[in-house]
Amino acid sequence: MRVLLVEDDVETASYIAEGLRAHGISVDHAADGELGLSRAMSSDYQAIILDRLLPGRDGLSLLKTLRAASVKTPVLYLTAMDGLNDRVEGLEAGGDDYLIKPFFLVELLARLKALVRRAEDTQAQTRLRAADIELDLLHRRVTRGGSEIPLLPQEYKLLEYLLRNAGSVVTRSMLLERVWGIHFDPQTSLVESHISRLRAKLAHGGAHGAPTEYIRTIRGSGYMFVARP
Amino acid sequence: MLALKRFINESSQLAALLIGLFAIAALLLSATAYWIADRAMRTELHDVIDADAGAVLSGYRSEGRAEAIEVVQQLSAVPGLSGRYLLQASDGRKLAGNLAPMLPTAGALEVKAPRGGDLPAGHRHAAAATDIVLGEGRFLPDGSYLFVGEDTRRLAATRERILGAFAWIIGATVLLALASGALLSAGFLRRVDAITRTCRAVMAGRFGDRIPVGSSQTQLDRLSATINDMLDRIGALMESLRQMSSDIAHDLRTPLTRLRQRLESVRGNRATVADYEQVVERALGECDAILAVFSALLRISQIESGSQRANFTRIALPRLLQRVAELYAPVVEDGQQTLRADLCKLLEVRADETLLMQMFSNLMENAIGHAGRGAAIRLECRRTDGEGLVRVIDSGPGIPANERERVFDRLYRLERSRNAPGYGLGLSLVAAIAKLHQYTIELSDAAPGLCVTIRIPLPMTDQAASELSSSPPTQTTAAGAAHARAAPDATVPDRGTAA
Repeated sequence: MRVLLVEDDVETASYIAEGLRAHGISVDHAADGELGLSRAMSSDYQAIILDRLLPGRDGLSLLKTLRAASVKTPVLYLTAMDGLNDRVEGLEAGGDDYLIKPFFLVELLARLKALVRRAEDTQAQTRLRAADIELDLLHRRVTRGGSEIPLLPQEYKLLEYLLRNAGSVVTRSMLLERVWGIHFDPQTSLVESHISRLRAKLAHGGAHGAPTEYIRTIRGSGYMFVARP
Repeated sequence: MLALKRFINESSQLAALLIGLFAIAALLLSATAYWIADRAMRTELHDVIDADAGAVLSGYRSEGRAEAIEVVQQLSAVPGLSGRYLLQASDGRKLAGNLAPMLPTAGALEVKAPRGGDLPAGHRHAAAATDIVLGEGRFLPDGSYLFVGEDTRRLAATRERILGAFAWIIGATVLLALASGALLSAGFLRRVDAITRTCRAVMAGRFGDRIPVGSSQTQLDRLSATINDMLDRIGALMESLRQMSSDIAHDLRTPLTRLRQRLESVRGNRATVADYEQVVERALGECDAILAVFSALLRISQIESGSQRANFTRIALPRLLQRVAELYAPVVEDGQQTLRADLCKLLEVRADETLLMQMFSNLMENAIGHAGRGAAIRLECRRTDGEGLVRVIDSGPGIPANERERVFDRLYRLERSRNAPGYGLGLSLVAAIAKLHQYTIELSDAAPGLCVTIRIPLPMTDQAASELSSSPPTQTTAAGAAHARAAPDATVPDRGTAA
C-alpha cells in the first residue's frame, strides 16, 4: 500500500511514517500544502493522510482543489481541529474520514485500512461472508452454516460493519461513528456490551451448537472479525 | 487633566462650527432681505422723482417756463420734504429750486449737496454735512436745465435701521448657537465621553463597568444599551474562559503530577522491564484521562460560546430518543437494570442532532452509572401545551437536594461517586447543550432516585395546536415524579376556548 502524508510537523510526520512503514505501508511525505497538492495530483496513491492546518495551502482547500480535478483518492484527515463543525466541514469538502490528534497509531492504521478497503470495494456486493457466517444484504438476513440467526437492526448493522472489515482491526471509535453515528466517547461499556450480545447470538444461534469465537478482542486496539476462527 | 482639555477642545470646536454655520445662515438671510428692501426703496425714490419731474414738465408744456419755475418753487417750498430741485437757465443762472447751480448733465445723477436748512430740529448740528442726492437731470426744449432729485438721507437712515436690526438678529443667532453648542457639549459629548471612558475602563481591566443608560429611547441610549449588552456577553465569555482555564489548571495539575511521580519513581529505582511496562501502561491510561478531560472542557466552552446554533435542523425527538434507548439497552441489561421508554409519537424540535444525541446519552449514562445494579430506568417524552418534556428517571440513590444545583458545575462530583468512572463533566456538558437550545433542566427526587426533566419550549403553531388537541391524553408518570410541576390538564380550558 502506498499513501501520501501531508503534515507540516516533522516529529508527527516521522512518527506516522515510521509506524506505517513498520506495517508494510510505503509513505511519501509532503511538508506543506502546495507540495502535497502537486504530489497528490501527479502520483497515484491509495490514500492520503491530510493535516488541516498547513503552511502554504490549508488542507481543506487542498482537498477541494483535488476533488475539483476529479482525483478520487480516499482522504483521511488527521488534525487537531476538533471543533463541533470542523468534522462536518471537512467531510463536506470531500474527505472520507476524520481523525483527531492526539491519536493512536493503531487507530490511524485501522482507519486507513478500512478506508482503502472501502475504496476498493467497487462492485456492489449482495452478500458478505466470513467463516461460516453469511450476511445477505438484499434480504437483511444472517445465517450461520445455513441456519438463520435473528438479529436486531443495530446488531445487524454492527455485524455488517465487522464483516466488511473482516480480517482487519476495527476500533471502538470506528464502530461508534460508523454503526451508531456517535462522535463522542461514552463513559459506559457501550461497545463492549453490544459486541458481547452479538457474540452470544452468533455463537449460539447456529445449528452446530459449538460456541465459536468469531469476534476477537484485540487488546488496546479494538475488535476483529476473524475469517478463520 | 488631558481628558478635560480634550473635552473642552472638542466642545469648543463643535460650538465654533455651529456658530459659524448659524452666522453664515443669518448673514445670507439678512443680505437677501437687505438687497430686496434696498431695491424697493430705490424704486420708490425713482417713482417720486418721476412724479415730481412730470409735474414740472407738464407745467412747462401747458403754460411755459414761468409755470415751470412756479411748480419748482412750490415743490421746493414744502417743508420737511426730501425733494431737491434745480431749474437753471441755459446760461447757468438759477431760476428756481433748493440746489446750487451745477454743470447740466442729462440722465440719472448722483450729486453732493450741502445739507439744506429745512432739516428737522434734531439734525441741525449736522448742518455742515453734505447729502447725497439721487436724481435725474434733463434739458427743457428752451435749453434750460431741470434736475429733480431726492436726498438719500432717509434711505440711509432706513438702511441703517435695517442693518441694525440684522446685527441684532445675527447677534441673537450667534448667542443661540453658543447656547446650543454648550447644551450639545454638556449632553451629547459628555455622553460620548462617558462611553469612551467606560470602554477604556473595560479595556484597562475593570470589567464590571457599564455605561449609564438614560430612560429616553434616543439613539445614544440604544447605543449605550447595546454596548452594555455586548460587554455582558464578553464578560460571560470571559468568565467561561476564566472558569475553563482555572478548571484546567486545577484539574489537570493533579493527574499530571501523579503521572510525573509515577515516571519519576520508576526512573529512580532499579526497575525490571516488567515494572517499566506496568508504569508505561498506567502512564498511558493517565494521559488518556487527561486528554479526555481536556477535550470535554474544550467542547463545553465551545458549546457555551453559542456558535453551534448554525447547525440546527428539524429533528423528530422521539426517534432520536428511541435510538438512545436502543443504544444503551445492552449496557442496561449487562448491569441487570431495566429500561423502559415511554415516547410520544410527535415532537419535532429544531436542534443540533449531534449535540442532542450527546445530551441524552450523557443523561442515560449518568442514570446507568449512578443508579446501581438492578435499578429501573425510564426514558419518557411527551408533549404538553407549548412545551415538550423529556424525563430520565432512575431508581438509584438520587442526588441530595442541597447538591442538585452543583452537579452541573464543571468537574463537580458527589462525595460518594468520587471513585466511580467519569470526570464530573457529563452533566456540565448536558447543561451547556440545554442552555444552547434554551431548554431548562430540573432535577427532582423520584423517591427513590433521580428525575431529570428537560423542558423544551415549542413555538405554538396552529398545526401544533390541532395535533395537540387530537393527541391522546399523556401517560401517567410514576408517583415519585408527581411533584414535578407539569399538570397538562390545567391547560385544557384554554385549549377549549381556543378551539
